[in-house]
Amino acid sequence: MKTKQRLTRRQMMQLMTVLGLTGPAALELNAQARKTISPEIVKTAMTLIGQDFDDERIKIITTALQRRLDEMQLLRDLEIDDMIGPATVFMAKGW
Amino acid sequence: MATNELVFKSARELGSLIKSKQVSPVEVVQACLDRVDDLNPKLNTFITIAKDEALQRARQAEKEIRGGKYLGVMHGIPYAPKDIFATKGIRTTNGSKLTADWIPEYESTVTDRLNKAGAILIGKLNLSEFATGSSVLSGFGPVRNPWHTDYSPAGSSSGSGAALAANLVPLSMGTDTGGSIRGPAAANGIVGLKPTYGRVSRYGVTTLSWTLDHAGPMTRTVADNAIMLQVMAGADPKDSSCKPEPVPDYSKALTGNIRGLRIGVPSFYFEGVQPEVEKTVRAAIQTLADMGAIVKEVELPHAMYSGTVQLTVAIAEAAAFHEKRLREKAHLLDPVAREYWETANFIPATDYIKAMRARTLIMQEMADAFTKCDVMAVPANASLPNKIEPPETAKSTIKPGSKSEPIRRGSTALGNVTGLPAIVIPCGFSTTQPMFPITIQFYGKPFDEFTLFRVSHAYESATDWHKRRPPLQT
Repeated sequence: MKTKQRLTRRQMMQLMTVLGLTGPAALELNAQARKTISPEIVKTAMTLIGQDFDDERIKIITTALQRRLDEMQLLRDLEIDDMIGPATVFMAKGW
Repeated sequence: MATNELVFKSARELGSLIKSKQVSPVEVVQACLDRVDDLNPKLNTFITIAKDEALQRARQAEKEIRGGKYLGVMHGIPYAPKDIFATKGIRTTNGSKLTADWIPEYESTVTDRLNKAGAILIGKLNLSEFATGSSVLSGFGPVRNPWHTDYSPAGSSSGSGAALAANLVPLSMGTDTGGSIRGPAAANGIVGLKPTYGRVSRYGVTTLSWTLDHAGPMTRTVADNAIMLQVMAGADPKDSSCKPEPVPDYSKALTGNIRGLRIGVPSFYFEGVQPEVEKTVRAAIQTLADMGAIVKEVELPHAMYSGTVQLTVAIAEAAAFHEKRLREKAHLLDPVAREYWETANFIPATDYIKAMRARTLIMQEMADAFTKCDVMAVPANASLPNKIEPPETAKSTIKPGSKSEPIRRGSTALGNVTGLPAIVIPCGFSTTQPMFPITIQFYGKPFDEFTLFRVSHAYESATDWHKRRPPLQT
């Protein structure tokens, strides 16, 4: 039996581009399908980052992270050419 | 007390009066201090008033000038920096209870340069905590907008914007990580310059974000801004990010002639702007065209990423800088600063690097756009100032009833992400009540503040928006 495969966000973006849906409107449409962050997810992530927050802080962080998710996804979906490196401040000489 | 008319004069005018000995630095400093006494309780702009030190320095300047030792146009002129610039022996709070009693043992490079040029520090100005907090719940409370005191002067250089608009001081300085010089310049109707990254030293300026922070002059006129940058700019061995680029004579930019100057207009930054703001900014661009500038549309396809890139980088770097404070004394921080920085803990390093790669992409796009134009013109703010928030809503970046906005449309982040210079000047007023200034922002090529002064001075000379005064009663 064939398994039904869901489109990834990036594939969704590419499909919308092919269909002529580009720019801010397409991005906002895409954002509507965002995933949900729960306090439990934040608690799990706390283990990874070695931080400890109480329940009140976890609630605040969860809400803020949820709000930021669409923005972050916008950036994650951005295709950047392999030739483009980060704008770094590292200097081997001059410090 | 009747307000001394000296407080309404520009630094350039005051410099001329002082040089010709028509007024003394003591009279000028005293006039500013008197006005601060009258209006600071209403506006909450100053955290520290350095009255004794200022008057002592003014008397010294008076003596020097009488003795024939005139140092130049800044000699005897009062100034007040945002309270994030370290001032030796004078407390520097960063707008935070955490550093409320810090008295630095060193001087920031820019305040040192201003002092050596003869300028006189009269106090330190209020700000959003560590240049990022809510303002309302920051360590020293909210600053009020002189055009209507129920409204916000924007941040984070809130005290600088409001003090200039209220004529408390003729010169100030701010810092700008995402728009913190230009936002208050817009909300208060003054002139704010974010120079090119590397043009002005940040030594002695408390960090928010190493790769996005800029220090710059805030004034009431373009000429004053040029005078101030002349003193502030230039290489500094104490700041490795500060570049040894030549500093031109900015006074030569103040000609009023913009014939043939190419002004690019990127359509993205006019989307979602209040109709009255858009109409006013477009009228200003038309005025420049009437003066001989060539106006053309430019496209910036990746500009829409600027806001997200700026925020991703800013909060990650700020959380790293404030790591110890967050770990040990987070409860004393402004709740908005705390929310931003704690959330930043959950941003993967790969997202930060992606944001830094996007910066390169946007910088390349801007370099390409600047082959087609000399400056770009955009609205400085999409909307007029908001009312000062009540503490219940000011405590979080998530506002009741608001929804997720995947694209941050503000026009200021572009300058921090690319490091390009940008200046904000008044270009009109709202017709609705309360009346607020409307401003235009010009972007320039790297290290080309000269052309920004050229275009903004030409516009200022052809209009009188910068001469209006807020309806403050003393």
